[in-house]
Amino acid sequence: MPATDFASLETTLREYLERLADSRGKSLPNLGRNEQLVDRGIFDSMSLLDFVVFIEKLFGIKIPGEDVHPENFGSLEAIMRYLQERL
Amino acid sequence: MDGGQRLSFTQLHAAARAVAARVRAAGVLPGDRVGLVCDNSAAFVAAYLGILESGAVVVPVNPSAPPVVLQGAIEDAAMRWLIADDPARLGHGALSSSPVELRLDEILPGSPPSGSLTLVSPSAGAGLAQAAPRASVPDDLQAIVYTGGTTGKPKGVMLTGAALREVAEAGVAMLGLCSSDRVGIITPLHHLYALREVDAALRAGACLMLARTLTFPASVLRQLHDERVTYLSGVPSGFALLVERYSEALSRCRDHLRAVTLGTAPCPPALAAALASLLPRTRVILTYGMTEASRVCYRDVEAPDPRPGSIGRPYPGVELRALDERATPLPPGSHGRIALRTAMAAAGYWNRPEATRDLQLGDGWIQSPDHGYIDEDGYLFLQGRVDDVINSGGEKVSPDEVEAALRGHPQVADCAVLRADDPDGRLGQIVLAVVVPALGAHLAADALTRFCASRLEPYKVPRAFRIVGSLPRTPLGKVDRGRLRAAEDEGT
Repeated sequence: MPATDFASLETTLREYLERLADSRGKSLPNLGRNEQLVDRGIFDSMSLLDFVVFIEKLFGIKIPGEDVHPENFGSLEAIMRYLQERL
Repeated sequence: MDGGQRLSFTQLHAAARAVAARVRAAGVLPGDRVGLVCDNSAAFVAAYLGILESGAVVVPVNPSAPPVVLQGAIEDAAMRWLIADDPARLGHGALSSSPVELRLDEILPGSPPSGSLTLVSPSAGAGLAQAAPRASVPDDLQAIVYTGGTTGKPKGVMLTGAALREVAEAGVAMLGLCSSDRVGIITPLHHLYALREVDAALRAGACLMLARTLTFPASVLRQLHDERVTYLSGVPSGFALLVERYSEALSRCRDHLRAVTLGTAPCPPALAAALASLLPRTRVILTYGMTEASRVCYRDVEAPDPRPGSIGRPYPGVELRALDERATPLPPGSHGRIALRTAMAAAGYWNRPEATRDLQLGDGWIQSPDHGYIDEDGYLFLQGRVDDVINSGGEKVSPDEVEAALRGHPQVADCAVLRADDPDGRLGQIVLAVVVPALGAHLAADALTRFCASRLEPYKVPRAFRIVGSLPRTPLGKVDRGRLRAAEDEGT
């Protein structure tokens, strides 16, 4: 993926996370890139799995279970970094 | 064990005594209801034991619940106090201005200096306490655990110390738990389903390994393996996730994991078979229970399955019956409503005399919400609930409660909430809301989701919405959920 596309990726991820936050009664105005998504009550086991499936479908990739750890999925920054490496 | 924190029984007991002393010093009296709003942690266990040691009644509350749900529980249980690991979870308006801080590094060795528990009194606590019932409260009441039921609001199940001891002992006996065992906790401790395993482990002198959540399963599985955990209980949707995406890591636990139990929702046979295959030397046990009676039946998964569809036989000391519509016991093989008699049974519902009367059939028998039959050999076969309660990933959701929340939306004219099959297959059932907009209103699913999420716990928020012009009704004017479900099944 060209570097310029990562701006739109961030927008897509933010939109998804904001929708997810809404569905969990959490407000996410100006989500900081390093904010911890578990601590904010956004990710639990099922919502994170939904998110992983969303990413897999979006990019046609398979994310191994071993990759789903806080260093890769703990924050928006971590997710962006992980996807930059994978795509 | 909680992450890197390791506590001996002596240290845990000392921590519980310290919590009890601080709680008493703050003015908590025996019999006071104390809400516990914490994630899974050593601090949760210390607070739980400390509340009991103080003589107060522990009321675990889902820490993910929005403030309005917590406020409902505060009012319903007439809570005098709350203990939370994060005061931000308690909201603001309803609390007194003088919280007491219990620093964890003073009571739990190895805790970070920043960790604390906050003890606080709801500002309206004194007035609420006067509304609490007296005659209906058992002397030995130790815990009130909220459960979704047929009616709109969750009901507080009253559990006595004697019942909780029986629950723990039944678990120890069924699993053969002993002091060399290591019990992994991966489900939320505010549910009796997890809390009872803490009691069982402590009773057996076994080691407890607490996982905060199953959000990052790879690290939890690594921990289970590194700590050589011997027993694990979970829900089918959680194990399905492990089997589907973490089978290799789960399989690495095969040498030390001697038993796993699956409960709170039906376990698909394919999942049971997959687990048995990944963990060939592990007892895979299916369990059936309810908050009102905790442990009812269990069976080990066998191949070939000698009784497909059965959820097993009762725990020792549990008697089962199928009843007809007049509550008369039926012979083996006859279908009816399942009733049971057990020393693990709840003392009733907090402040709900009518619901308690419906639950208790007399002579120690209580009725379950399930239909089924018992065969000649005493094996129970379940055939669904008698009510409309939705079981989504093991969490019970009352359609009435979700409908009541939706009706609070100014643009919702009418609604009905029903169960639907999870299209992804993970949760078993999902919450589906069929909504009629007010005249001229345009409702979007996103807005309805947001609205519900501010009033309900995350698992109760509908995962699907249908916007319709009207709802089918019975001749008596009630929403015809059967027709709605049939229409849903047909995809109309």
